[in-house]
Amino acid sequence: MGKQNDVLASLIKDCIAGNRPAQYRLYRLYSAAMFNICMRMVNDKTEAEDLLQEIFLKVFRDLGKFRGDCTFGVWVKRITINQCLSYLRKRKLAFADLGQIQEEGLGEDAYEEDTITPEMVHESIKSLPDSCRVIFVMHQMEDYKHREIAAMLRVSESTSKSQFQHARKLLQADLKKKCHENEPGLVY
Amino acid sequence: MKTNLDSYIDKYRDRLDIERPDEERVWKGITARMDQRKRILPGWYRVAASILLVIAVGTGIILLQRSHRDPTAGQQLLAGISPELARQDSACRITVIQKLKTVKEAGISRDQRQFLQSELDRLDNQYLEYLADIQILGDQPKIAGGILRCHEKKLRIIDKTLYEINKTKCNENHY
Repeated sequence: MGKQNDVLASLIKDCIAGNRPAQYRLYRLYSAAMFNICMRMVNDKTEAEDLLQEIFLKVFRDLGKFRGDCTFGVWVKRITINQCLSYLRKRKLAFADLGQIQEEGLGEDAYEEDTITPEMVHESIKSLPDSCRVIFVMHQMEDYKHREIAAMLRVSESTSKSQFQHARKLLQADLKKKCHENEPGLVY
Repeated sequence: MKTNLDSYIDKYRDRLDIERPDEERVWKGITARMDQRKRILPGWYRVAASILLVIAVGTGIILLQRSHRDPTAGQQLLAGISPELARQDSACRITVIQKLKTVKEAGISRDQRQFLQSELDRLDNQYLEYLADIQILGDQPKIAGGILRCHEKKLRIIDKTLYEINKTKCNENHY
């Protein structure tokens, strides 16, 4: 891991120096992951590509400010999330408090692992309503705490939690439906 | 094996990144905007850059060994992936450094030096790309071959430069 960090540090140094092939290399290393975050946040390919452009412009512009207090991937991800949220604010995305928060837990919505696929899960996430999808992506997939999400979205923590639970319920229902559709048909 | 949604997402997080952007189109947009930013640099910045360039050329700073200034990070990475490749990489580097010393002693002209430098820089960038690839993809014959080809190309360019220097000297002696 230390050697990987050294190569990455060298790549970053070359990017700061304006080395275009190094910048392209860095872009190729992170573009797919960041694009997928954008897609899940904004659910529109053209907008996600435009956001990706803005993200990397900011990455290259601010590369000299990266101090290593987190991994480089986390730093780029923060820029990605912030750019997506800026875009969503312009679209005036609203987050309503959905009331009672249920306990998160295991159990009744367990699936056989081989009946669901990453593609199914990805498509189900994309099919969520905008507000709960954004919070679900930030909390479940990008590891933001509800407190942080609340501050970034300027909502209460309970709103973040209730929207998250709502997303989980919708996802579970959608995946259950997809699992049943994939079951082999009964022969009468 | 039964799983729940949270565990599934945690386990297969990387595999959920199934979408792909039009990477070339996005990259074109990024470079166009970066170039635009460069063009609107203030005049004083361009003057300062020109002065620095004149100083560098005027004092005859030779940057021919730029590509070998800090090889340790790459060598350590290669040693961790393939000791044999690291050994070959190290041997090639030593040969390139020795040949560059020969070029320096042979009396390279300014134009030849600039051309050689730009070619070595270009090959350094290719080398860096291969290093990044091997870091991600591991020891693959094509990538290992690419790494060694960068050194081979450097040696060919250095040999060609030496040939040109010696040819010029021969012509001067003849006349």
